[in-house]
Amino acid sequence: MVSPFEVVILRLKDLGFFTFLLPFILVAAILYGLLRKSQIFGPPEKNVAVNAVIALVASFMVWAAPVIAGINIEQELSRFFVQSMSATLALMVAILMVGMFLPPDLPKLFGEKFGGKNSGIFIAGAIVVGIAILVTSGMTTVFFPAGGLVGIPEDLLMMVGVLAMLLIGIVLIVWLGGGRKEGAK
Amino acid sequence: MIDVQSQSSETNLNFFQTKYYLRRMGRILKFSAVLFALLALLPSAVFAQGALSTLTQNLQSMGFFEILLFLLFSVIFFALLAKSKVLGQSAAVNGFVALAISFLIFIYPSFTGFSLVEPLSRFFTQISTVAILLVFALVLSSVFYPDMSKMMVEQFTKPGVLYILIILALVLLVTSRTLWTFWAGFKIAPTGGSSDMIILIAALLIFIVIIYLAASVGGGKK
Repeated sequence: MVSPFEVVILRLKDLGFFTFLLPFILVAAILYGLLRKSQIFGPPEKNVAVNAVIALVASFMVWAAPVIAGINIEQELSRFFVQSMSATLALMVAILMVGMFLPPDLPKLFGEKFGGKNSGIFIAGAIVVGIAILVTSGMTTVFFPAGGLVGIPEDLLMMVGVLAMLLIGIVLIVWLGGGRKEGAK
Repeated sequence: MIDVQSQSSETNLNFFQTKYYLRRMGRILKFSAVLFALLALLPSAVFAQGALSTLTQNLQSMGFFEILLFLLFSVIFFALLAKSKVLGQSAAVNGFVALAISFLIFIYPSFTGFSLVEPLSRFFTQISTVAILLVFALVLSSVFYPDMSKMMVEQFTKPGVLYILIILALVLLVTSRTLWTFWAGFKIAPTGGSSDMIILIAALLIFIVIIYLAASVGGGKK
């Protein structure tokens, strides 16, 4: 017998709830929160309408992505969140195990041990884990759709690639050169 | 004595906050239960197959998303003009300039034959994916930091982070095909010159800007 939960989920799926509505709500909330926090357009109390319009329009564009751009992230988003939940659970279990041997208030202890220059190491690690989950969940199709980067001529892409390499090369050379001079002093 | 008083007031505040959040959660749970029952009990004919997909297709054929982009650009330009005060503080002047710019952007697809809706839809979807990834990374790493916001202010205000994010934005510009807007503009440039020549000049200009930027980065180091 089909459970009522399954019935509800299938009906919502038929309606397009997971393809259109949920990404819309998620993106609107994240963008509105980021616009409020970053205060790009000034104090959030004075710019409620501006922030709301930008967040809503951007999320409507994400709503339209499955139809206009052919990007359907229904399954990928579900996979991403399940996998990220598993990663979080695994981490929590690991910390619980470590907690058996270490004194209480682990975050404080980690702050003391990995403070100073290395304090960003956990965020960097979490971003690497996030990228790995992004790949395994299939969310990379958002960046590289099935048809590839069709529409942009190859020579233009080549030019952009060469310019990007030049930019990285020059910045690296100047950066490293500057650093050596600083060290010589 | 003062410490004891402040601690007790803090405890009272936490108690009322918790009670408030519990009441809110209770309401959300009740609403979800009603919605769930409604979804389970209603006949399946009520849920048209892909109703939201049909709605989006209808909206697209009506040109709804072009109007949304017009709204987006006018709001962004108005807010930036008001914030920077380049043209003064007059709302009328800023409004007229923002509307004029947005109308000019609105007619861009009519003479280039290139709609801005698809690349921008891709761009926002990709930006949202990156945002979700970063939110997950921050939630995951918050386990290790007693004061996450303080650590982020210390770590993420370095220029290196800004450079990385600028490069990321440029990459998204390519993968979302928004870069095509420049190409579409080149194709119908009314200068009479060949498109190769224009690309060459543009590439040279970009190259000069890159060298200038790199030199200024190096100068800052010294």
